[in-house]
Amino acid sequence: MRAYAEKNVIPITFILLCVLFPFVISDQYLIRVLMEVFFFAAMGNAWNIIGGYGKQTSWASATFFSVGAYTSILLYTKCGEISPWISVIMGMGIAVVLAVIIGWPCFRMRGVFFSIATIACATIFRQLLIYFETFTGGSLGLSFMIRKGNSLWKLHFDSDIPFYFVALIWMLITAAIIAYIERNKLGYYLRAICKDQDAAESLGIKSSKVKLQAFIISCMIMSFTGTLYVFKTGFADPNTLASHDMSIRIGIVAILGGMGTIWGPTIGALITVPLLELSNAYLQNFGGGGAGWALYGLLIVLMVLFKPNGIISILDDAKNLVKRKTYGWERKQHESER
Amino acid sequence: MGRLYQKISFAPSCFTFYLIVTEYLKIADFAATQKEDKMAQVIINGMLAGGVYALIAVGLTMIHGVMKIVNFSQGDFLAIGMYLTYAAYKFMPQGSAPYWLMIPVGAAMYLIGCIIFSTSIKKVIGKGDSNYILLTIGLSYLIQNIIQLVFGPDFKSIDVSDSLRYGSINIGEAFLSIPRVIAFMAAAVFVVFVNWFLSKTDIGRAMRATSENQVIAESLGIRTGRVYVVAFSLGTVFAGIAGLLLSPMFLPFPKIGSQFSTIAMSAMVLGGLGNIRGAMVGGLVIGLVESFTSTFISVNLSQAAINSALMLVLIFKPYGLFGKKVRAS
Repeated sequence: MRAYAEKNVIPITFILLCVLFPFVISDQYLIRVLMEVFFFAAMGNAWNIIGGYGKQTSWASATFFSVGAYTSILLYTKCGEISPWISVIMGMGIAVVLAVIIGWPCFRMRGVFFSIATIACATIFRQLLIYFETFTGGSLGLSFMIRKGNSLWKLHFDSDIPFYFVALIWMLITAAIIAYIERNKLGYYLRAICKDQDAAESLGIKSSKVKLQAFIISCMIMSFTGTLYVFKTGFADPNTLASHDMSIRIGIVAILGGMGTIWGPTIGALITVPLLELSNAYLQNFGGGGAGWALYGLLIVLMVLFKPNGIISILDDAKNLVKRKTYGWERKQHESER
Repeated sequence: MGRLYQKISFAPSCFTFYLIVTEYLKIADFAATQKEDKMAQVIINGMLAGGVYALIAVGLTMIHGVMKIVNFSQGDFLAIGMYLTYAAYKFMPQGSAPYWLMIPVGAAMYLIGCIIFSTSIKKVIGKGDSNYILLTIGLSYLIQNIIQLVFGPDFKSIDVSDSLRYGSINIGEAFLSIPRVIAFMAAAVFVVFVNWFLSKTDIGRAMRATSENQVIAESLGIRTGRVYVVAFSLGTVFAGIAGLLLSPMFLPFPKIGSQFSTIAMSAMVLGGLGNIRGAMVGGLVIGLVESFTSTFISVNLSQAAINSALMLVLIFKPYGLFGKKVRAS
């Protein structure tokens, strides 16, 4: 137990800080930003399964996010306030069907063909959302009243703090799912495929089937997050939820943090989401606007050029530096041999 | 035996052709009665738009063919071209055609391409798909928002004369809008120029050699670094020129590039990556699909139709219409 705690000292302190945060700081804005961080971290975790471990750079995340969001908002507003905990299951079911429909053709392609095919699928989905106006509300979207008393069953809370904990718990669950997959057969298969697909297939791994499995799990998590997100905001529209920007933000959370690591997406979300939120809030009137997004683009470019393995590699470097300072050079060499 | 087989195999293709022709006649008939003979107009509009798409896709293909990088920010280079035209047009006499700006805008785009290549793109060549995808997406955000910082988020209008903006030539029942015709012709000239450039000049031959095999090209004394710079900058020049050609028809705004990015990528993938002729055909096909859906079904669904066409082609031919299979990793 103690060895475990010593090994994972950074994640444990992070979780403790997150739990204590709303009791210490009462600023509603910061709590809302952190909630956004948790949602994006959860979606980054979902993306990480297929994009990080399998190296299949998918840009259709927003599709599955909005599947969850739209399923539950439609069931809530048009079918008599069905609880999100029921509609989340239906949303996940629809996400699985859609994942098979999108994944079956896309996983026969490789590399950049796959990325472009997912972008095409996401565009088709967004356009259909806008086209079927009577059903989905068109480009204006759908909305409903939030904050109507405290009820966990209907996910209504009078303040943001209970929702903060819902988001935090969901993010930790997704991180646990990632950790489980990493140690599981699926994780090893995915890593084998991303190293060399032809070699993996010659060893008997059915690559399209494995990729599709991982994709389905990833899509279910995204759909679940979509449901939670829409009950936090009370609002769903295709131009933000299903947009290409949203897919890219989800992917970049994982890529910037560090692909194929358990805590990478969380770190990525902790950096990118506040960067965008705060710079959009404070740099709004600088020039013609858009300074926040320009900074975001600059961050991406700099990270790719100088730290292509993500922010988590900076932390690893720092850890190694500390070890070298305390134990000397030999200890580090010994560890790397092991 | 062989003759018989030929005859048998010829029959179904004849039948399909017959079916296609009858279907086409039905649609044309429908169009003649319902939509006041829009068929010719729709085809012409599609071809004219497709010519410009082909120009953007050719630039993208040039970059991909030589350095195996898909530039996700190609549309934003188009936006730079549009805004450069907008900024430079203020110094032109009132009401003159913006096409005179082609040389300064092209030169500026070449310079921008050189700078962007040598500061960033150079470092991700040959380092895997996700690196360049991420880098070019980052660049696209950077370009879009720098444009917004400088010019503001609203629509700009380039004050060309009304005779250019709204002018048209009538051929029978169909109207040919003048800026579209000029854009199509200029794009066609550029595409022909690319073919000449790649087959007849030294640097063009060096480019083709590099795209076949970089190591062997280097061993033959080709400076691949220089070839990369030229290829990338020419790709950006084509995007910028496309922006200039489109500027009388579109009102530039900072995020205008993203729609052209997806269209150009679809055109390129439709034709097969790294294949100039494929990109041209892909651009024309996409122009036609777009104009057919936006006329006969709904404008809102044109993007969806383009992407469905792309998905259909990719399902049956995973490497595009004219692409060759390559081994992963």
